[in-house]
Amino acid sequence: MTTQPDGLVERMQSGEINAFEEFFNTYRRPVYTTALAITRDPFLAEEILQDCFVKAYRVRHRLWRDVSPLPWLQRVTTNLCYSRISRRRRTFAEPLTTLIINIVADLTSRPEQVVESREIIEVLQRGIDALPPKQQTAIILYYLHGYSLAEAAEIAQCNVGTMKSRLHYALKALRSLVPAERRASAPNARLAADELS
Amino acid sequence: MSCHKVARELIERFHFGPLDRRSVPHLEHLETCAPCREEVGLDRAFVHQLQRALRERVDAVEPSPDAWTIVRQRAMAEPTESTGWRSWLLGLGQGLRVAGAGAVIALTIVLSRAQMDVPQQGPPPQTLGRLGHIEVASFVPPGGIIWPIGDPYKPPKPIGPATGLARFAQSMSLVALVEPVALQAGMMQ
Repeated sequence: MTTQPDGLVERMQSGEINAFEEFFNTYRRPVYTTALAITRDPFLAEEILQDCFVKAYRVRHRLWRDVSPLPWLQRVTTNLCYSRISRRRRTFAEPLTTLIINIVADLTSRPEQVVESREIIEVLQRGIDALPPKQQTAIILYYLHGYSLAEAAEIAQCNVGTMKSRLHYALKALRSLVPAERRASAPNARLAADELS
Repeated sequence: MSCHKVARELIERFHFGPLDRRSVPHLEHLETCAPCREEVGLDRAFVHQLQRALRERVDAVEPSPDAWTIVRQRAMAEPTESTGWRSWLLGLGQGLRVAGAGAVIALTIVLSRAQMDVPQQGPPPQTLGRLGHIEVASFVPPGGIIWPIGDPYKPPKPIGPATGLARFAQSMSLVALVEPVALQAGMMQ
């Protein structure tokens, strides 16, 4: 997890605008990445980034001085994302199977291996979008940011076991979208198997 | 050791924890078992694909260069949250407001339930007409539902306002019809 520069929160709390700028520059990338990974909309992600830091400045006196504010920022970001996209998610009525069929149909004219790999990635993207928010957050924190189970659990305000369970169910849902024979035909499947032997 | 168990445990280890001494027998099994190798390899490939899919969502996209300027302007424009005892007092006031609202709602529910439990008593019977020494009467409880007097041995059944009004009109017309005849016949005074 990004470490907090010495006394940064303290300086920000005393009203130093330079400290706030440093705070913004230190944490903007992980916050923006999370917002973008969830929303897949750069403009919306930018708005969420702004909202998150404006909120951080407003409540700066409540931030702990000796603890990294990143888990809190990530939590605010995920909450903002899901409150913003909830309306859009409710209107997402097209069944996933139809989407997958469409993707497969659209990619039939490309070279086979590239198509296969591209297709799997697209199916996974749709699958990630369709995951329940808590599982989606778990996947993003653990597999994109590379937080440990404990760190991801801290951000999501749950225990490690719950985080593990969310990841397990998310992976199960995503695996079910990509049949084993397709996974095997992907270029890196053989590499991964060889890596283990 | 079953193949399924080995593959499942190794996949779990690869996902959530570092391989340690306990994983040695599993890895030894993996070296000799092609199906297990295949299964674990598929899972590793799947994780690679998942990570690639996630990275594609965020790669090569950065916040706009003027993000800081906007954040700064907005942060300066918004009031800072109060600190120390002021914040505590504000929080207390807010808490009291919420508690007060909750108490009012609870009291309203309790009172409305208590009122529902009180047996409804209708007003005294109103004489609607007189046929000889028989009174045509109805209870008209609040709400406009007319409780007609029927068989005294049966509890009255509630009827709707429309039916009540119809019966009332019927009884009045009956009185209007019968009264002149009865007067002529000397049955009524």
